[in-house]
Parts: sequence; C-alpha cells; structure tokens
Amino acid sequence: MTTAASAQIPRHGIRIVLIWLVLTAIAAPLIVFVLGPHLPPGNMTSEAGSQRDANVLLTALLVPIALLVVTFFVYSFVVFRNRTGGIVDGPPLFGDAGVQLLWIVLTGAIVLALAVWGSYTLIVSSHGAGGGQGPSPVDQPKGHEHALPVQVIAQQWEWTFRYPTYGGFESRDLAIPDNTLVAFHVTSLDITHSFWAYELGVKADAVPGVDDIAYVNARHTGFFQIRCAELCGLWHAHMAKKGRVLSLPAFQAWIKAAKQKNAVVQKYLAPYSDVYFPAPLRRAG
Amino acid sequence: MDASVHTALPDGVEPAELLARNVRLGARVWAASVGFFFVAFFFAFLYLRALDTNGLWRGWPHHHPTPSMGFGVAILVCVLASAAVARAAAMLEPTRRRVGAIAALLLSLAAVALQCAQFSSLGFGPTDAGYASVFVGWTGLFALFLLGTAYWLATVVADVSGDGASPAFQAAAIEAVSFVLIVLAGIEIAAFILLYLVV
Amino acid sequence: MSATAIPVVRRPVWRRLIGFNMLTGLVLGIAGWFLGAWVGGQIAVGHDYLLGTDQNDVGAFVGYLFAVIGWLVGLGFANYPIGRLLGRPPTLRHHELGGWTRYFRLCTDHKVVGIQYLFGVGIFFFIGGLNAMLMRTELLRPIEKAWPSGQYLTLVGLHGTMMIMMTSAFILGPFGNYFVPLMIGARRMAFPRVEALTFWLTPAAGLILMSAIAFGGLPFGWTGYAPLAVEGRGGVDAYVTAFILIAISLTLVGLNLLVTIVTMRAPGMTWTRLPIFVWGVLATSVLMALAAPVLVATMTMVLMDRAANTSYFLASAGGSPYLYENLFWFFGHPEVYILALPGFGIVLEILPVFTRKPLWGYRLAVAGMVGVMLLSFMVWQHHLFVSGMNAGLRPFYMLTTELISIPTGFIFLNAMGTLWRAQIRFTVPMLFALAFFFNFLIGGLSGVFLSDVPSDVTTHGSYFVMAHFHYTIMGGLVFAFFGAVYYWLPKMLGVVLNETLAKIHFWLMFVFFNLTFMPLFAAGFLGMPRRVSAYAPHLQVLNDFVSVSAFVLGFSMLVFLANLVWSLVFARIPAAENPWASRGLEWQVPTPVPVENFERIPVIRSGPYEYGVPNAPAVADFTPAALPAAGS
Ligand code: HEM
Ligand SMILES: [Cu+2]
Ligand SMILES: [Cu+2]
Repeated sequence: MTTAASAQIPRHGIRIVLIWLVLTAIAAPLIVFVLGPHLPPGNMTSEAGSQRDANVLLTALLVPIALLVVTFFVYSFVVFRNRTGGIVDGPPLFGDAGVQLLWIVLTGAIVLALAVWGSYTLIVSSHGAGGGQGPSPVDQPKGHEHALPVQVIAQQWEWTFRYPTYGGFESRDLAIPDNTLVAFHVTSLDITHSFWAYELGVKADAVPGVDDIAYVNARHTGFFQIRCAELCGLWHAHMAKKGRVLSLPAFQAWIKAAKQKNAVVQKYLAPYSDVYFPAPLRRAG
Repeated sequence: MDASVHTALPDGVEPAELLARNVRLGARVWAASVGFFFVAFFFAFLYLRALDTNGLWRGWPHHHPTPSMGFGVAILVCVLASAAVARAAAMLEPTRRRVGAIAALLLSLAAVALQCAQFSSLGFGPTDAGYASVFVGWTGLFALFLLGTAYWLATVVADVSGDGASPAFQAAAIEAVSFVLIVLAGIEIAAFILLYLVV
Repeated sequence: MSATAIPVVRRPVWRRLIGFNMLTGLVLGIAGWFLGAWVGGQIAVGHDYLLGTDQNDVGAFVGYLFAVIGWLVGLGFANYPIGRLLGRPPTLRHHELGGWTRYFRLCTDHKVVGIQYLFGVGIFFFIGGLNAMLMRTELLRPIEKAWPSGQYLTLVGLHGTMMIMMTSAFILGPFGNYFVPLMIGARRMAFPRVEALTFWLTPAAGLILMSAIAFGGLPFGWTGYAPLAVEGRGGVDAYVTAFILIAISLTLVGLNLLVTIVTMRAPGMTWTRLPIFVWGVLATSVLMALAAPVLVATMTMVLMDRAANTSYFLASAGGSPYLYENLFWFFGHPEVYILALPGFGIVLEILPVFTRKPLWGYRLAVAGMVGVMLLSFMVWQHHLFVSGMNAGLRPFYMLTTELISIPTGFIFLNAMGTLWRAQIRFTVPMLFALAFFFNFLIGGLSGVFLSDVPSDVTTHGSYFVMAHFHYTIMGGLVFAFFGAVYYWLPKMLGVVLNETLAKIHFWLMFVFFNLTFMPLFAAGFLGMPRRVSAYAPHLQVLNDFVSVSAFVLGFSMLVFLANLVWSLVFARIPAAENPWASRGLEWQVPTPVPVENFERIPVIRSGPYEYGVPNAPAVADFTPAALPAAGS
C-alpha cells in the first residue's frame, strides 16, 4: 500500500460524514417541524398524541441512520468504482476490530435506548398507549377505577357499543365524552376482530371469550374513524363507521335521546344482557 | 478417513464411514425436530389448562374425561423399555445386536398397539373440550411417531439379517434409532406426567 | 466419472413415459384423491359429531392424504423403503443418470434437484405474482368492482400463502441444493433421497393449495387465524394440508443441509473458510428444522379441530384462539428469518466477487447470522401487542425485537466494509445485491416502528405492515434471489443470459418496486387496514398510483421470463466456466458440472475471498496426491 493511498483513507471518511451531516441537518428539522405535526394518528386523545410523538421521534432518528448508510453506499459507488474496465483486485482488507466494536457499541446503545424509551412511554407516560391490554391491564392510568366503561362487541360484521353505567344501554353508534377517561372493553361474539378507532389511537383485538381493555382520554371533540383491523371474513372491509367525541352534556343528552327513541321497541324486548358470550357451541359454522 | 473417500464408489454411495456419521447426526437433528413438534402440544396443555376458558378445560359439566391409568402405565413402560433395549443393542457386539433390535421393535409396536386399545375403550372422545383434545392429539400423534420409528428399527433388523449395509453403518444406524427412541421416551415421560398425573 | 456407470438405454418417448415419473405420480395422485375421499366418507358415516356441518372434512383430509401417497408412490418413493425392509443394499446410481427425463422423476443428483426447485418454485412464484396483479386491479377502486369481496380475500390468501410457502425454499431449494455440495467440496448431499422428496412434496403442496379455489376458497389470509379458519369452508382443508406438506419439506430441507454442511466438507474446508452463503444456509437450516415442525403441529391441531371436532382453538368448547396465535407466530417469526437469512448469505457472497476484495468482517457476518437465528425464537409476541394477551410482557418483546437489529446491522457493516476502497464492477448480480441493501434498509428500519408498542398501536394490522414485509421479503429475498439467478445461472444452465434485458429487468424492478410499496407506508399511516377489498375514498389516488406501479413491476417479471426463454432456447450462448473470475469453489468445476462434481474430493488450500492477497494459494487442489488429515 502506498502512502498516497493510505493518506486518502481519512479523507473519504470525513467527506462521507460531512455529506451525511449536511443531509441530516436538512432532513431532521423537516421531519420534526414540517412532517411531524401531520404524522398519525394526530392529537385527538392523549394516547393518540403519544403514538404520534413515538412516530415523530422514530422517524427523526431512523431517517438519519438510513441517510448514513445510503450516503456511504452512493459515495462508494462513485469513488470506488472500477474505472479500468478490467478486473483489478482491491486492497485485501479483512476487517478492523476497532470499527466493528464501535459499530456494535453504537447500534447496541441506540437499540437499548429505544427499548428503554419505548417501555417508559408505554408504561409510565401513556399507560398502554391506547392498545388492548387484555382482561387485567397492567399499565393503568390514574383514576382508572372511575373510568367510563364502554363495551365494544364485535360480530361478523357489525359493532355494538354498550354503556353499562347507563343501564346497559346499547347502540350501533359510538360516542364518548371528552376529557373523561374511557375504558373500552372489547370482545367478540364469533371470531377475532380488532377494534381500531384511528383518531383515538385505540387498537384492541376483539377475541371471543376475552375482555380486552384499552384506555383513552379524549382532549377535544370531533369525529373519528372506526375500522376492523383483523381479517374477519367476507365483509371485513365494511366494518367501518364514524364515531364521535362529544362534550359531557352533549354526550348525556345523546344517550337520553337515544334511550327515549328506543323505548318504544325496547319494552317488547328482553332486558339488556350483561353476559356477552354465546352458550357453549359444539361447533360453529 | 480412508482413501476410499477420495474416489467415486461404483454404486454411487458414499463410504460407510461417512454414511455412519450422517445417520448419527441426522438422527440428532430429527430428534430435535420431533422435540419441537411436541413442544406445541406441551404448550397447548399448559396454556389451555391455565386459561380454562369458560371453565371447560376438564370437560363439559358432569363429564370429566379420565383415561385409564393402567393403559397409561403400560404404554409408558413399553416406550421406556424399547428405548433402553435399543440403546443396549447399540452397545452389544454385532451378533447379538439383532436380538436387541427385534426386542426393541416389538416393544415399540406393543406400545402402539396398547395405545390403539386404549383409544377403543377410552370412555370419552375428541369432542369433550380442552383436556380431551390435547389428550387425543398428543397420544395419537405420539403413537404415529413411534410407528415411524418402528419402521426405521425394522430396516435396521433387515440390515443386520441380510447383507444390506456394512457393519460400520449398521452400528451407527442402531445407535441413531436408539437416540431418537430415547428422545421419544423423554416426550412420553412428559406426556405421562401431564396427561395422567397433573391433568 | 466412474467407469461402471450403467449404460443408458435409448427408448422411444412413449415408452419412457411409462414408469416411475411425474406423469404416473399425477395419475395415481388423482386416483388416490377419489379413493381417499370415498374412504373418508365411509369413516365418517355413523359418527354424527363428525358430520355436524355441511361438509365432510374427514373425506377431504383422507382424500388429500391418499392423493399425496399416490403422487409419491407414482414417483417411485415407495420403492426404496420397501427394498430396505427386504434388506436390499442402498444404491443411488440409477437415480442419478439419464437424460432430460431426470428432471421429471425422482432424481437424487443434487444438481437436478436444484434445477427442479428453480423451475418448480418459480412457477408457483409467478402464480402468486399473478394473484397480486388481480388484487391490485381490484384496489384501483375504493369499492368492490372487479371481484366480489370473498374472491378478493381468496386472492389475498392464495397470494400470501403461495408466496410464503414457495419462497421459504426460494434460495435453499435451487441454490442451496445445487451449490452447497459444490461449495464445500462434496459429491452429493447427506441424504439424497430425502432431498428428492423435499422437492417433490413442493408441487404437491402447491397444487393442493390451489385446489382450495374449488372448495370455497381461503378467505382468511396466510395466517389462517382461528377460529375464522377453523370454521371456514373446504378451502381450509386444502390450506392445512398444503402447509403441513410444505412444513415437512422444510424440516427435511433443513435437516439435510445441516448434516451435509457439518459432515461432508472436504479436507481443508474449515469453519472459517466456509463460504458465507453456506453459513447463511446453515443458520436457515437450523431455523427450518426447529420451527417448521411447530407449524406441522399447529396445522395438525387445526386439522383435528375440523375433522375430529376437538377444541384446541374454540373458546366455546374450552379452547383458545390465543393458542393458535401463539403457536402460529412461534413458527411464524423464525419463518420470516427463514426468508431473510439466505438473502444475507447471497448478497455477502456476491459482494466480494464484484468488489475484488475479501469479505470485510467475515466473523462478524457469521455472528450476525447466528445471532439472528437465536433471537428469532424469542420475539414472536410482537405480532400480538394489541391482542390482549400478556400485556405485561410487551416491554420484553419490544426489547428482544429491537435487539435483532444489532446482528442484522452487522450485515450492513460487512457490506460497507467490503465496498470501502473497492474496485466495484456494476454487473447485474451486483446491482441486485446492492438493491437488496437499499430495500432491506427500509424494510428493517420500518420494522423498528412496529417493534415500538406505542407506534405499533397505530400501524398494527395496517398497510404499513404490508409495506414493511414486502420490503423485507420482496425487496430483500426476491432481489437476492434474482442476484443469485444472474450470478449462478451460467453455471447451472450453461448459458449466458442477455445482459441488456437483464439490466432492463433490474431497473424496472427496482424503481417500480419502490414506487409500489413506498406509498403503502403512507396508506397504512393514513388508516388503511390490511386485507380489505374496499377502502376510504380519499385513499384512491394513492392506491391507483400503487396499482399502476405494481403492473409495471409485474411487467418487469415478464422481461425476466423473456430473457430466460431467449437465452435458454434461442440464443444459447455457452457460458464460460468462470465468467466472473470468482474464487468460489463452485466456479472451479467444469460446466456442465459432472454427475459426481469432483473426480477426487479436492483439498481446500485457502479461503474463498482472498482477493488481492499477494501470493494467495489457489482455492483448492483438485488432484491431491497425498491425503491430509480430515479438515473438519
Ligand atoms: C409484484 C409484487 C407484489 C405485489 C404487487 C403484491 C401485492 C400484495 C397485495 C395487494 C397484498 C394484499 C395486502 C392486503 O390487503 O393485506 C399482498 C399481501 C401479501 N403478499 Fe404480496 N405482493 C407482491 C409480491 C409479494 C412477494 C414476492 C411476496 C413474498 C415472497 C409477497 C407476500 C405477501 C404476503 C405474505 C401477503 C400477506 C397476505 C395476507 O395478508 O395474509 N408478496 N401482496
Ligand atoms: Cu371484523
Ligand atoms: Cu415477527
């Protein structure tokens, strides 16, 4: 190896880092300030907000990593191309323990930091982040004993919503009050569905025989999309509807009005059930 | 390694020494695969038992399946004995190997036969909820694997009787079968503890 | 080649059709299916709990069982086991010789099996791709227009299952079987008959899977979650049988390659001289041998739930859908690394050849592959973060999942080190290998979103996931596969592929792959769930763009096909023995490769990547005079 060649080595490295720094300096603010506020699922609930923060932070962290790798590759393509047209051997470099160690330490540090940060946001700052936690939730927000329970009952291919604290009132429309902690109890009558309230930042599988609990606290009123996020058969794509976040008085008025409207029919029907599982079947289908 | 490794053999078969190594290692990998297969049933047992969905793990109300302990013990004994005999046969000198292999084969077949007998007088069926499902699936598939291993043992017996394979290969083959049988015996012990004792 | 070869008798074509071959297998397979369906019906009669529904699953399963038996017997797989019971000595010779008919029957030559795999799996890959085109046609409109929703979902299931099943052996099947013995200096695989069996199970699985179309389809995706699939129509029986067959095949592929690599390396082929591709194969083999049996067990439970009315997965009878999800993903996550690891092996094998440099950080690459292999058994519940099971374990699975990016990162460092101050030649295999890194970078980094629970609550079950795994599987595995095709086909088929067409293929595929799947991250972020035949109208522009890109992507595959046909059938330019001037052992043998590969087992003298090393000895000594001690 000539001295000229070895003198070039640091120059390549410095150039790559400089290009990368410039690109990152451009990309990072764009991600945080321009793209960030538009990243899903918005800011309607504190849970949705925590998911958006996670998405912003991950994008802002991962895009520079991608840029570093891409910069390195593209730089190599341009600079380390074989220009002779023939077959020329490169320098026999078999590896460098220092570089490898540095890489392991760096990636290891990033990964551990991500895992710690992810666990922290999941458990401490967002209390389950709107995800379904099963029948005995571990990440409970303060005051969860007083949360408004709303049961979400999935079946092929419709949602029913039930308000146990309002006399077991049932509805095919979902509304929740704002600035109130709501506990969704998601279950299914037939097969596995998944309750996805996009703007609320709630996703919880609806599994037969399971009470899957997810907490949410809406910050302001508005509409949100409901989807089924687990393939459930023929009309899976059509288990979509719109839900509403209402102010507390509007919410109570809505329930009252709906109850009155239903009363005509309701008196001929059995009282609302509090058990949501069919009698054991030997085989369904 | 002898010189024959380096020249092609006329019938396209690798040297006996290499075949012996292959069958020994192959048996170990296969045993690991079989182990992971039954891990699924092991897990199913513990998982369904712990969940006890709708209180139906032990069966429908007033109908709790209980397989007969006599059959269970008999099957366990046959499987353990088969593995032990096969293992011993692997260590015997060539002339006595044949007897050992035949004995192990018969014991394995006896276990399969006992399992069939138990099924025909079980007193419950696959439809009797959680435990019954795991019981029927685990024991049934175990019998199937045992039958397959019995076939392998039978080829070993055939080898020892005829002139099908070289002595080096025969020794390796019976050692290999015995290894798989030992792993199966381990699985059977787990099955016995869970399916008959823990329930 | 040995002098005692059996003389090949030339017989008329019609005569050659009779005997143990694919045709006989098909005939006996179909006959077996009818017989089995009848037998199954007889079994079920009188057991009313078996006939409690509108279909007889016992008949379906026994039918498939007999069909598979007929197929294998027709191919001649029963002859050897029966012969063994009668104490006949094993011989392989008559299974290795013969002309083109070898490709249509049981052949134990690993090179024939490799080519059988290449075309067999390739055909199913194209069928799966066709399904994708049909799906993208439907998604041009936000509401069902082209297909009713049931048919659309069957397309999703067929595409997904076909792709997963076939691409699991996409690299180990053709290239593992063909090149591992050549690369380690062996004459054949450890278990040549098992090797033939693994291939011939594959078309059986593919055909049985496709038979689902006739029995109600498979509208439940490739994951076949219980209880949806357990309660589904007859197509489920096809899905279950096909998955069991392919999983048996994968288990045996893993076992066979693992044993071959451990025991059959030539003298001097030490563990540190093993080509990195072989290391990738080795790590994948371990995953296959351990994970695929769990799939067999899981599918057997579905089979029993359907045919014998057990209740593993039915909550209403003491079972649990969670059991299925756990078991499926305990197999399923190692499965995704079964798809990824061979790709790592291929690209790291290709890079040194076209940078004319040693593989940078060989030991790190090996550590990366082994690390991925071990960790992949510990992450499966990241698919179940919002399922409501074990919420307390989510931080653990978040950690293990993110840990996997450390060994995966090693592979990137290897690539970067190898490119450093290299002499890069942009040949077609090199282009595919480099594209692999770009795609896998995006696929891998998008996976970090999915591993972070708060972020996963947004993205789980959405098109974001769909884009993520297409980036890793299609962008990773399939790009690596085509890299391998362009790299090794000259040795396998003995012809040169047209380079212009190859470059058109590459650029179309690379550009339109990214244009197809990059926008789908956005679709997922905007709230589009997976597996839907209808979506919110405001997503139509995005979806139309994706569909059009997907069609061009599909067209690029036709360019490849055209190239293959042109080069193989019409141009037929013979390939040089070592066109890339590679140091790999597989390139030092003549083209076409003789039946037993090496006249004498070579003695390995140096590593495969010692480019630029002054006075590096030749890779191997092919006519060793004296025998050194065994190298392993
Ligand atoms: C031309 C290239 C391809 C296109 C346009 C394409 C398109 C699609 C589409 C539209 C879906 C349905 C997504 C959904 O609704 O959830 C899908 C699913 C899937 N694709 Fe592809 N695909 C392509 C290639 C591949 C390849 C090469 C593989 C694997 C080797 C693959 C594996 C899968 C799997 C596993 C699924 C999931 C099926 C399920 O949800 O159960 N695809 N693909
Ligand atoms: Cu649904
Ligand atoms: Cu996974």
